[in-house]
Amino acid sequence: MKRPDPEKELDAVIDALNEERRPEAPATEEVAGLIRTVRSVKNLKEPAEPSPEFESHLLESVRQQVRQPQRRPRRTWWAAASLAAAVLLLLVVVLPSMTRRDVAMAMVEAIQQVERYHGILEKSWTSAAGETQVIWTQEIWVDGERYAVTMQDGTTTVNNGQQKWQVRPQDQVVALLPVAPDTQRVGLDLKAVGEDAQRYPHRVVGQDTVAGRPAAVLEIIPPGGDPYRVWVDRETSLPVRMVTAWQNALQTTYTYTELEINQPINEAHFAFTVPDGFTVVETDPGQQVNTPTEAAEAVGFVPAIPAEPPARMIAYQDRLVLEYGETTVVERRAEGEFRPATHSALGTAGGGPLEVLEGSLRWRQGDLEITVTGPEAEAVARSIAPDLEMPDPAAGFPQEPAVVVEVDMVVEENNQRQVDGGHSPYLLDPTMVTMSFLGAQGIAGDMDAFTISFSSGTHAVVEVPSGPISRVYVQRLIRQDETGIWTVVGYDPR
Amino acid sequence: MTGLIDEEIAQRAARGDRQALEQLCSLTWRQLYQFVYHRVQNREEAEDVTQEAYSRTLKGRPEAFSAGQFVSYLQTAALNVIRDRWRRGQTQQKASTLMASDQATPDAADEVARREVVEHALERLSPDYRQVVELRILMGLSTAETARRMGRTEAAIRTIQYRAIKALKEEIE
Repeated sequence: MKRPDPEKELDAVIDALNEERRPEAPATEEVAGLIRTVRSVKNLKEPAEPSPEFESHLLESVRQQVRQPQRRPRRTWWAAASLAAAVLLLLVVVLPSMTRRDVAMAMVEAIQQVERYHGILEKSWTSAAGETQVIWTQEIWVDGERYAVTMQDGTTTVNNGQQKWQVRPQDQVVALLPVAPDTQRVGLDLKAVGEDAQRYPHRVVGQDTVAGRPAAVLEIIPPGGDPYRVWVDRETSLPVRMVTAWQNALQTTYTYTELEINQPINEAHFAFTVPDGFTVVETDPGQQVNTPTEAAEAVGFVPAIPAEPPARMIAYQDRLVLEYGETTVVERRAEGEFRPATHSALGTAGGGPLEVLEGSLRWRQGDLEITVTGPEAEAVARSIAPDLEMPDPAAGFPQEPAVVVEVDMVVEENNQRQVDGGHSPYLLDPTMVTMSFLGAQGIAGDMDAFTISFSSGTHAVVEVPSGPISRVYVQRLIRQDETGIWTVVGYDPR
Repeated sequence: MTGLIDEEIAQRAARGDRQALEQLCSLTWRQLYQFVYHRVQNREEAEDVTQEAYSRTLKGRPEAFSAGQFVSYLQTAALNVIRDRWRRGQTQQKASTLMASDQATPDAADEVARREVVEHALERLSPDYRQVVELRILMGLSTAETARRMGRTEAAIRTIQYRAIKALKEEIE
């Protein structure tokens, strides 16, 4: 075998170390010696800071460990020996197997073996005060792409691949539903969790038990999204619990209290049947179309189809839905005035304003109104509107206010805490904050007439059409995302 | 770091007092992380190794909790974790990239002395050699960017870099 060029080999090792990758094993003892020298030089640099959440993860894992009993009195020699064997097993087998990559990999492999499952799923909310409330319990049957979900009140939703419908016993109705988009099938979808673990960064952050069974806690960090945690059953390697990040002072937990894997499922669960005495209600279930021409004929307008064809196109009476994996485009005929949501950031697309909300973009293009939602929203939207420009959160105001309003940060921090606790939600809307500011100055205003002429997501300018103040400048001072409150920082007199 | 650890905290930790253990962990994790990072040169791996080192030490012997001993136990556990990982993950690499001095638990004085030796050796390199080492290793620039800044070809940079590291190795040894 040809010996690698030591200059190139050393160069590749330095690249790997610079990029914080583990370098390839050295081909010769000579290169191994040079790598040790490179590492010595690298040690002159300060280490990279650990991730911000590292300390809390570490403390959590220490807490987990302390919860386990450490010593038991009155052991006989064989009990001590079995304890030693268990510790040895823990150190040699379990701990290595519980490293980040192994847990995730074992989970992905276990999920790949799942063809069908049946389980009882519970959804609960935990408030910032630590109170937990069960929101619903549902029974789920999943077979490949087909699923059936029965809620506590007997309402059953089924998608069998060809049709989607909902049986509502309280109304004695079977409602036919659109088959697409259908991204939210079940709360804790095993396949979706497995795909996330393969795609996104993740790490083991602790050990726990779910329904008395030991589980590893895996944190999955979707880029740009909120990290969430998955409890992976140590015996089956399947996810049995998922806890979302805190959103609006609430944390959502999904737990499988029962889970059966690959057991036969009665086909009746996926068969469309109308119970005696029930009526069928058809609410525009949509039809799959295959070409832009078919789509135009079905919806009555000419859609904007990106160069990359969608996985599916579904035409409804008034709209066309294009599916790109988890990202969905909805196109409909534009009607009336385009008013972006007041709490959105503003970019530009199609020669006009672009409404930017978390995971969603909406704009007008020709005679169409287009909404794109999902993780790839920006890339898909750009393929429809090449002139699309996202707002720049670092941009600041386009011009400085004529009058600067003094801000008391202690008050603002308290306000943010109030909002996080579920109070004063109006502080999340710049037009309502403007209205409140004007009211405090004794100025009456018509909030519906306010328009937002600029919003980067962190800075916004609200135009006031009448009265002594023409323009109000608001800013997210405490937190620069959609959960951050707006504060008036200035205005222009008329 | 050991100076920050109160004997009383260490004793309470040894008895399984959760608050004391957390306090001990808060006082020591940053230095252990830096210790590990210098050896693995990778943030993610340094975090994993640090966490596993605590896990091993806390599951280990009660004498680890002596105020003067805790950090040494952590460092030894961390080095063992690093070695185990290499054995498991890269049988060919063995421990060859571990520093020779990592075979024993180094103390702070060793670390300082080693840094001084490397710094002194760097100063004795020719200006070209030193510049390549600084740009490529300390600043982390790519070969292409280093070549652009020094007005050389990438092949020339690789040659200078190889010779510079060889010279540095000889200086250090």
